[in-house]
Formats: sequence, C-alpha cells, structure tokens
Amino acid sequence: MSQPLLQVDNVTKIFRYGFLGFKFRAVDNVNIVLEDKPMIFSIAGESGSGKTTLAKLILRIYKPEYGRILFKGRNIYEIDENSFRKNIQPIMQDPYAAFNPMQKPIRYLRETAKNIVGIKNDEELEELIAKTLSYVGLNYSDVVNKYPHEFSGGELQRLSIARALLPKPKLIVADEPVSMLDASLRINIINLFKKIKDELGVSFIYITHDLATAYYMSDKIAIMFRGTIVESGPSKKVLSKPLHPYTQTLLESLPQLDPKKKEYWYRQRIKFSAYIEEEEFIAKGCKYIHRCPYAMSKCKTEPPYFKIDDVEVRCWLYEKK
Amino acid sequence: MSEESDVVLKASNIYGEYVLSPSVSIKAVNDVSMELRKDDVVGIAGESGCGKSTLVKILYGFITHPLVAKGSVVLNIDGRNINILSTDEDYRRENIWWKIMSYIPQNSMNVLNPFMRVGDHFVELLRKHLKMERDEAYKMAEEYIVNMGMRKDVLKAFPHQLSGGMRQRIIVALALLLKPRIVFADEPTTAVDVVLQKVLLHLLIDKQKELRNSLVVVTHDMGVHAMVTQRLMVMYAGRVVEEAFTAPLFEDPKHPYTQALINSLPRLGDEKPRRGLEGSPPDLRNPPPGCKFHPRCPFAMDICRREEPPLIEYENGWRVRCWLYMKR
Repeated sequence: MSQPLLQVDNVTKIFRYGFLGFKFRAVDNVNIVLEDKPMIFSIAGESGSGKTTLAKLILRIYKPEYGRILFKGRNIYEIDENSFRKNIQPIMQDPYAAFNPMQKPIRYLRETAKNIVGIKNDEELEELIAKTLSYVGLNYSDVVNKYPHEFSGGELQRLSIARALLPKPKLIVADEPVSMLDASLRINIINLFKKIKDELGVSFIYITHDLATAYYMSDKIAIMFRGTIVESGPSKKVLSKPLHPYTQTLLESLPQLDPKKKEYWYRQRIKFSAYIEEEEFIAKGCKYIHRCPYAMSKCKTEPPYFKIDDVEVRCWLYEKK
Repeated sequence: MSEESDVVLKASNIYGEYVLSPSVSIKAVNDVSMELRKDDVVGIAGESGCGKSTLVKILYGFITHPLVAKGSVVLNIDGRNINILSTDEDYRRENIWWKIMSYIPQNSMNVLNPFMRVGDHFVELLRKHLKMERDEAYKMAEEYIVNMGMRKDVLKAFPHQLSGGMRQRIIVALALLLKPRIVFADEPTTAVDVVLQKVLLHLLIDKQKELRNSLVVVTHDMGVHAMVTQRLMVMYAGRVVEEAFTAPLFEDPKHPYTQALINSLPRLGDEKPRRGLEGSPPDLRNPPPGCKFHPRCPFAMDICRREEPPLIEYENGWRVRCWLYMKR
C-alpha cells in the first residue's frame, strides 16, 4: 500500500483560556488520512469547532502538544522549510487582508517564485507568473501595476490561489476561501478548485461551514465539533445520510433554496442550550451531550469511533449490539 | 392584503449618494420605491456594494456624512403621516427610533458598549422611552430576557464575557424590546454559523408573528430569503432589478441577474455542475451606460448597452428591470 499524502495522527492542541485560566483542547485527538491521490477533503463545523486550528497545525503555524502530522510518511517538523513550503501551501479566508495594501500583489508572486520555487532568471520568472495567472483566469498585464485596493475580492482571491500554485504544491490548505466573497463570484472560485484538482492533481483541505459547497466539491468530509471529529467519510454519503445527531442538526439548520420547504424548516426547532462554549470543551465524554436529543447515561464516557460501511461516526447510538 | 391602511411605510424615488468630494460621488441607491405593510416580511437581496445597506439606512433615517439622501420616506403612524427625511435627527431619536422602527446593524455583535453591563443597555432604553424607574425597568428586562429564551444572569455580564452568538441574540432582543412596528435587520446572520443562524432567524420570525409587524431582512444569502421572506427585492448597482413574491420568484426568476444568483448556488443532494457570473459588479463611481448589468449579462442586446430599462410590471406584484420582458 502506498504512503498516504497526509496523515494526522492523534493530534491534540491545548490552549489556555485567560492568563491563569483553565486549559482546553481546541483540537482533541484528531486523526485524518488523505490517500495519495488528488482529492478535496472538507473539514466542516460551526465556529469554535477547532477547524481553523487544525488547518494551522497542518500548516506548521501551531505546534501540536501531542501527536504528529506526517506528510508522505515524514513528520512535518523534520522537513526543511523550503521543501515544506513547496509541497504545502495555504489560501486564507480574507483576500482583502492577505496582501499588504502598500505593495503590489505581484510582488508576493515574484517573491514566492524566487524564494520557494528558486527561479533566478527574471524572464523565466515572469513567464511562470504569467502562465499561472492566466490559469486562474487573470491577465498578467492587468495585474502587474495594480495595488490591492484596485482589485475586487474575487480577483484578490484568484491572486492568492495563483500564488499558492506557483511552487506546484501537492496539498493546498484552504481556510474558508469563499466565505468573504460575493455570492455570484463564489461558485467560480469553487469550480477553479475542482479544475486545479482534476488537471494539476493537487489535493485540497477545504475548511468550511458551508455544507452545500462541501457537498458540491469535496470527495471526503469530516464534521468537527468542539475539537473532535464526530463523523467522517465520503461527503455525498455523510451529507445525504447523516448519522451523528450533530451532523443531523447542522443539515437541518441549513436554509434550503426552496421556499416550499419553508414551513418544514420553520417547524424543526433547534435545542440551543445556554451552555457556554468553554463548558462544552471541557465536558467529559461526548461533547455534544448538552444539546443532543438522544443523550443517555452512557454518553458521559467518551464514545469510540464506530465504523458503518465507510463512514466513521463517534456516537454511542451506533454501538453494535 | 394590499389595503392602503395596511401600509406602514411608503418610500418613493429614493436616491442615496455618497459625496466624497465635489467631483467624486457614488450613487449607491438610485430611484428606489417600496412599500412596507403590516405583517409583512420583505427581503432585500444583492451582493456587497449593491446599495442594500444604504437603502435600509435611508429608510431608517440614519443618514450621516457623506451620505446624502433624496426622495420621501413616509411613515404612517395610526393615520398620521411623517416624512422621515424631513425630520431632524433629535426628533427621530426621541420619537421614532426603537419605538416605531428599530435597526439591527451589520456586525451587530460589536455594537454593545463594552463598559456597560448587558442589563444596563436594556434599562437605559426602558427609562428613556417608557419613563420607567430603574428597578422596575430591570425587573421588566429580566422577564423579557427569560421570555426570549435566555438565562437572566446574562444581564449581569459585560459584553466581552459573552460569546458572539449570545451578543447577537442580545442585540436582536434589544431591537425588539419596545415592540416596534418596523424592524430592519441588516445582515443579521452573516458572521455566525448555520446552527446559530437558525436560532437567530427563529427569534426574529417568532417575534414578527407575535407582533404582526413588518420585518425587513437584508442579506446576500438567498437561502435565508427563501426560508424567511414573503416578498423579495433584488438589487444590483443601486437599482432594484426585480421585485416579486418569494415563492414564485424562486420557481422562475426573470431577471438574468436573479437567475444567476439563484442558479449558481450549490444545493445538497445535487451534483450538477454550476456556473457563476463572469466579471464583477460595476464601479459605482463610473457605472456603465445603459443597463448596469449588461457587461456580465449572457443575454445582452444592443439596446441594453444604450438605454437603461425601466422597472416593468410583469405580472401582478412582479416587477422586473430588463429589456427581455418589454412588450413591444
């Protein structure tokens, strides 16, 4: 069996709340395996579920307290800076904040090409940049003399994507890449991701709270809640037949694009407890216990992963009798 | 349904312009007319920069430099007509805001005063508008907050001690405290996740059903519009391009922009490839001639480049601004 592209192995990240406050696990014992074939892996969950922290751990921005992250079988902390950046590239959420307003965005592309790709020849460098820009749907001559405020959000996000593509990475970690964009531009960026995956063979980790786009573009999905993965598997399966009560709630609360479902949506009430986030983070056992309609006494101990076909779900409801 | 007496707010020919310098101005709202009725939920859709927030600010009468507004916004309070745009701000603050109209601003989780406890926000409002005593007001605030499904100890907390979602719920509760006849919610759920979004929307709809007032929801999220609104206005580059009842509009959108907005969105359970619009919204400092949408429109014709189409009555209550539907 071939080496997986990325293996997140029992990774835990602990944050301290306040100066002397209690510790909590923003990412708690998370396991993810990305096989070595181009795919889009979505990590979905609400705000505060630890999905961005997980992305930052994979990008080496945070160091995990426990566990390890392997890229092609090697611990990411043993890979030297340059080849790490060549292989794993980020795309951040806010395209307006990604570029220094005082500098032309083209400079970031040139620096990436020079320092990470290692091209010394100027002509070659400009040629690579022009080629990459036209691949993401931008025109080199339109970009070269502009400052960030002269671009729209969609164009800036395309620039970020072009920058990330320059080193020809194996993996792109995209943290909510379309949530700041206008609705009519979003789908184009998402289609661009699919095209990059199919044509250039780049894998994506796509972090999102938008389940509809996750369904549309991703091959696999992991649903996170308060630092743990509660359900993971092929995204079409997870999102059409959700097993975990939390996934079910997420899908039920998603507004449907069909006014005929209005009444049904309105009738489905959400049990939203007044429990604050911190209490859920430090809860022993299943973290969803305070909101779960099926909560039972067993839920006070942490459920293991139960495997049902190719979906893994972390809920006592699916214990084999 | 469409009786004259039910109309609580009638806005006609509103223009809103940001005057940045004598030579540069941005026409953010361009000739918009609308009516709000009792027991009505109206949505305003469109992407950022289309003027939807500016329109709501003008309707609410919150006009600050450099925004200049023209037109008339007539508020009908039990038969008495008041033109919001000809009153001064002190009058609006005293008699209209909070009591008759209230406004839930964008990024509303950051509008609470960080030096005041949550309860004091409620008490201040009750003392100012209902001339209540402090203790009485506090008691009423406690009852109200429990009624809204929150614990009463949130009143003792400072805003930073609460999570973003809790603060947003407090803002919604504050806006609905004096039972206003019109509630404007400007992107009430953009910064929150889907679960909390549903909780907040439920809070808004429940109160709307109870008070039978009119609710205006401004958001770019078409899913929210489909789930919440009865009527929908779609704006593009400062103009209303389509206006209709929500249910038939989603069935068969008429304007090419509305079509793109609805059809480009991925849905659960549907893997059909979807295409978005090319290009980006026009720069309002220097808008294109003719129809503002023609550079991105797949059906653009010659006339679209020359002349701007009027808002055409397509069917009863269904208006669209497009040459495709002009009967000749």
